[in-house]
Amino acid sequence: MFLQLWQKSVGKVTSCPGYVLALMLFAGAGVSLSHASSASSGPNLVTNGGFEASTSETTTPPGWTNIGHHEGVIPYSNFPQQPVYQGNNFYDLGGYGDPLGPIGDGIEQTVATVPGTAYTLTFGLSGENTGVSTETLTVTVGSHATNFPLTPTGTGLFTRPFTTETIKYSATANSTTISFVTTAATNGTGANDPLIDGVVFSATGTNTSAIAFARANLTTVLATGTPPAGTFSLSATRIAGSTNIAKASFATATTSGTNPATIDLADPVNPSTVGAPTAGGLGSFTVGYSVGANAATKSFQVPTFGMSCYSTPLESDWGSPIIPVWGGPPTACTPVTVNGKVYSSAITNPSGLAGTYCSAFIEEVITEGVGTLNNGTNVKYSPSTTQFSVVTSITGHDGTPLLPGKTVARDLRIIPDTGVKLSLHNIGNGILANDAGTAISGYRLALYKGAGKSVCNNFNNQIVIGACQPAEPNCPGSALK
Amino acid sequence: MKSSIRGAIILLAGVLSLSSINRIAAAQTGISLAMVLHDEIYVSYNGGELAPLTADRTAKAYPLWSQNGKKIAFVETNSDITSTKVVVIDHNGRTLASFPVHPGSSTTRNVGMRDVEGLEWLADQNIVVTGSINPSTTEYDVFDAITGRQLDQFFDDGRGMAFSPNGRQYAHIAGGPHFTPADEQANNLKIGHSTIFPLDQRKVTFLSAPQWSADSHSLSVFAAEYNGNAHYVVLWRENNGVSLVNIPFAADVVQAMFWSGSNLYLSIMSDPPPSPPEIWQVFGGKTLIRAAAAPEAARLAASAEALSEQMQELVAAAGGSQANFWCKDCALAALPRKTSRTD
Repeated sequence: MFLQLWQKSVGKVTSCPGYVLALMLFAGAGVSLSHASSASSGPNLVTNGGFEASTSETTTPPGWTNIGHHEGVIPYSNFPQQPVYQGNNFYDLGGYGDPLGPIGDGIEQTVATVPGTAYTLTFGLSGENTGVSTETLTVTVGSHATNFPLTPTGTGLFTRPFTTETIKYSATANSTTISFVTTAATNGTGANDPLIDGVVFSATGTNTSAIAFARANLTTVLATGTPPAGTFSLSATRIAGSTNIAKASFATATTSGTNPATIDLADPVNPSTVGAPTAGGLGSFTVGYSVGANAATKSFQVPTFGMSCYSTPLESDWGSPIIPVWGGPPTACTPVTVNGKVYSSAITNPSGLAGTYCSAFIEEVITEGVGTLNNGTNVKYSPSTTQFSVVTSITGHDGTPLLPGKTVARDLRIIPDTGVKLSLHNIGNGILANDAGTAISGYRLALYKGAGKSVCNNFNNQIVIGACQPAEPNCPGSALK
Repeated sequence: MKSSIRGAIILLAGVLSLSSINRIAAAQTGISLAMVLHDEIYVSYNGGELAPLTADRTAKAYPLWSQNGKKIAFVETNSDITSTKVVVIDHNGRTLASFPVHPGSSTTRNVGMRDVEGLEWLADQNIVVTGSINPSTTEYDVFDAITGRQLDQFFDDGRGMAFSPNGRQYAHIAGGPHFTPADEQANNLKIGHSTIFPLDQRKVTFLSAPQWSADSHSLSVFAAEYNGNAHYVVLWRENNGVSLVNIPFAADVVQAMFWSGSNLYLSIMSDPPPSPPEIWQVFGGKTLIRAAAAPEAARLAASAEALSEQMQELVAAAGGSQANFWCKDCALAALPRKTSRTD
């Protein structure tokens, strides 16, 4: 603070060596000299955070990676009316490299971090401060973005004093990327582009806050933060599959002081309320918990599945044999038109099967491989022997019986193992995934409902929250991953 | 071509960043866009304004430009397949045809597909409607696009029906019904309703869907002996019938098979990955020779797929869905005239 006041009072730019000397003199006495170091305890992990390592007005400052159009640093001496934050230069997200400063322009830097450790980012923020446009600087640390809208103060170009902004962050990886990008503008860019200076990112000590999850049921998660009296946040991202991931929100009774916080999970809105099923996806839900200077984040994953229904052929769906008035075995069936083709003949004792059946039904058993007679007997057809035979059960891809309402077909890329049982919201628990086929792709499941077309009547192709037991890499279980 | 593709993406992304759905642009000169938005079919020409072609508030799906870009087919969906229709309109929204997929009546049993899951144009004349009837078996119904008369019907066992580019021939794998264990299957390759391989008692497993050459005169499919080590490309040529091309690589390293003109190529996973795959060409209908690089047609097809996926994501981000693109000469022209609900 001293330094800046002195800079203001003398009305000139302080040289870099002087600034460094001042830090050396006062730091040992516990005096905080810099805006940027006030909340930090470790060394600054950002390279060239003060933008002093170069003088080019069009080349990306050393240590930083450009995003969008290229910019260089601008010396405070070019705009004497601009209150100095520190050093000789600042960075303008719309400077001489591209004065129009389009949305999407910025810089970033990746630094080494230790997962679980608390860090603080501080930086000086100002704006070009002319025009009428509110421009928004988005600062992203890891996956956490913070917006800083800048509205012109009316005092004119390069007159707005810098303010020190602070973002707390708990690292989740061995490296963290920090970016500064202009992301929005109400009336175009170019006149009020953001200015930054004095970027410091440093560890503030071992994080003492933590989050623990407990799954109350398929659609409720309890997040407990420690120590108490912290504040929760919640965000969602898609990990795999479609964007139809679960919706997550804090329960209405949850306030900032509620601990544990109750997170409600809801099925996504089905974009197709009629017609073919839409796939679900795997969502990751990140909970943040802040207590004072400490912050913790922790994520859990929840899959959703687009549901459909399937059945196996039932004899009565395919017409009924007609008994001739003069007696004898049926030779015809009630005419059935299937997709434009009329089936009306009857077949007696097809290979391996006793009795008279409508040819349409026999054709269907050949097409699908199995069928159920009106008396409940299951039959199969073997293409290699061209024989029909009676079977005790109809089996799926895994070779185990299909059970109405209790088994599903899945995509083997999502649930590759056998013996996996699913809990499916509004459908049931303990549903065995034992069938598979190319028509079931991605985060999709088809529920087997038994024999006959009518068993799937009124089955809505909804998208539901699910959980696998045991958990699969792409299908987390009830114990949150 | 690559620069024009990049330009299309950038321009489209820029338009969408304005968050104005009415300004979604196909962006690249000559591209026509059709999409579903709020249950209606919207179109945009040459990056212009989105305009609705329908306004009846009936749920719609799978808008699909015909090969000549003059017609759009789509499905009017309904919770009951008996009320689901295929509709064909022109570029002004005028209805050219409308016909039911599975008409219901007292003597009609709708025991096939439960939902329409895809559409495909065959040479602007016919339309194929697809839908699964169990986790593998898929029904393909071929309709006259004007009269709505059903011309043919096929059931594929899960590999997918392949229609020749000229729309005149159909190939698929049969003999392996969904509920039949592998050891009881009698898999065979059919063109139309006739089996072309195997014609003897050999037992085979098909490892890919059939693929037609661009001139519709040749067909290939990757196959292996059941419970055996040999695997080969089954190659059918209109004038020469079937030949088998033995593959001197492990089956799991064959990444893809593709046609360029009348030449057939295999993409073989190199060792060690992630080096670029090796490209081998089927020579003389019998042997394989190493090719210098993937043919231009394959690269264009890959570029078109990537471009289409990116444009789909942009349309989805703006609230639309099931976008379909048409152009006469741009990269997207390499895509087949088919659409389905993706995962």
